[in-house]
Amino acid sequence: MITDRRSLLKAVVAGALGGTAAVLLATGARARPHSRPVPSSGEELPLVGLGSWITFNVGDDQRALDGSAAVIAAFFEAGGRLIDSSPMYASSQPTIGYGLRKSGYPAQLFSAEKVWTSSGSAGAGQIAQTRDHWGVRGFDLLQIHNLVAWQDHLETLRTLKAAGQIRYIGITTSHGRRHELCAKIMATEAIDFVQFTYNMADRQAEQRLLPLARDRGLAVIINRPYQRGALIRRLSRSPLPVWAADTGAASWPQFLLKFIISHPAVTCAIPATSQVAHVRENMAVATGPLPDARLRQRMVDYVAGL
Amino acid sequence: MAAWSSYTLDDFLLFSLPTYERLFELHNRALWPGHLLVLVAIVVLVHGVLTPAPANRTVYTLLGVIWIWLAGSFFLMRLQPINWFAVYLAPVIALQGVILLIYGWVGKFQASVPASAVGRWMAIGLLIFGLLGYPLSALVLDRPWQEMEIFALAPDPTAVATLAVLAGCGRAAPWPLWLIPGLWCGWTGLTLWALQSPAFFMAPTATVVALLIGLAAWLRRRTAAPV
Repeated sequence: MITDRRSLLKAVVAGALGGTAAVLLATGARARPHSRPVPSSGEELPLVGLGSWITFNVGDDQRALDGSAAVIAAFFEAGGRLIDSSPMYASSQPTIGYGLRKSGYPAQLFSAEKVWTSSGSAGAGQIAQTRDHWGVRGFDLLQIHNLVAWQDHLETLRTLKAAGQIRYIGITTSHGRRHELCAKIMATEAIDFVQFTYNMADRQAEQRLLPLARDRGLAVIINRPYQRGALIRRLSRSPLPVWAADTGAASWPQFLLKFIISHPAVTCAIPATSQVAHVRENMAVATGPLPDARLRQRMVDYVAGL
Repeated sequence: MAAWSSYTLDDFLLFSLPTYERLFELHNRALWPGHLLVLVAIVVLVHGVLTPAPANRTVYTLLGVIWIWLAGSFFLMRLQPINWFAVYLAPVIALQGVILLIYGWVGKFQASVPASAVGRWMAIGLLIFGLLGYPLSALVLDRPWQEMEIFALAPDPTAVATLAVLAGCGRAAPWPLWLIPGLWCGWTGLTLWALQSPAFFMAPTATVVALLIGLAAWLRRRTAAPV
């Protein structure tokens, strides 16, 4: 019951806020994704980023370039920040550059790139070419792709970081390979990020890399969350459990992604897609509830039983 | 070593099937009306093969020029943007062109034994498949007609047609000429298989058929050779 002007004002404000919240929930618009801090700086990163392997390698196909640009625009619109690529991914880098130009280089962009050449001396030149492809002056994060010539490249990256051309240094591996070397570098070298594969079918990283990253204060990027779609195709033959709603997932891709980003050591997962609908679906995963340890175990048990 | 053994074919893919298939539409658009020249080349090739005294020098010279053209127009200009490995493939494809040209100029065609009548007709069937069946397969596989892979413009039908000629349209050719087209057909088959294309079996199957025809011709040659 409203008894005075102050109460009336409170009621009006509460009503307006409640109405706005209802609209936001109904449309899904502007619902900011959950984030986790980069341990070395405290900078917050949304739990879902955007990968570019295969999906953005479209050459000079204008139709596909525009499609990729639409994906990038939708990613930013949903609150995304981190876009990851590599010189290995052929035309993916120019495609990202095209998309960023069309989106007007949003300030929220967190650019994650890699150096990938067996020659240590060629690293700096390759990074300069990558900058040209993206159309940026520097990168937020530069990673050593698949640990190729890692000692030489680490030196190059440290020089670039000292010069203010990059902000973070990282290493990457994928498909569960070279975990021994990866762990050794994580344990002994001054790096900020580590990237490796982790998904419901490949949980090897839980044994060593994820705990080590936590102990060493490293941000963790997860690649191949869907095993290039194979995991989704396999699981889609079975029904999503009724209790999946408790995890906040409405589909198998969301179920898989929820599992990954709910691991406390994970900073960001980077699913790749060429579809605007899919990037929105992926980003929505970072906005809802996240499963706790008990629910995560239930997810593992369910998938193992299929 | 252990790390390498864990790689699968899938790991080396850089592009998706729609991107690869669309490549041919872009290629066809870019080269039109060059397709009319291809028609002329097909007529020359078929005439050269079917004529009672096969015009081997013309046929091999034509194929040599086409392989060199493919190295630049398809591998370097078209494929390379989505597959950096095409830079390494292009010289190999051009090498096949050079080998075909040399064989066309210096080959001792009269000294070799022709394929049997059955082998010859099977080889001609394979040639027709490379020239007509391969492009039309796009329609069977529910791809847009603009994505047709056409002899002399795309590598797969060109490799199949070349293998058909080598196998016995004229006279069975020496083995070094088979190597690159055969390897390419295997490579493209594996790529399409990894991309989950239903067309993955076409080029490798054509290679096996060509090899069987060529093997039969080789056995005939050994039987016919004086002891």
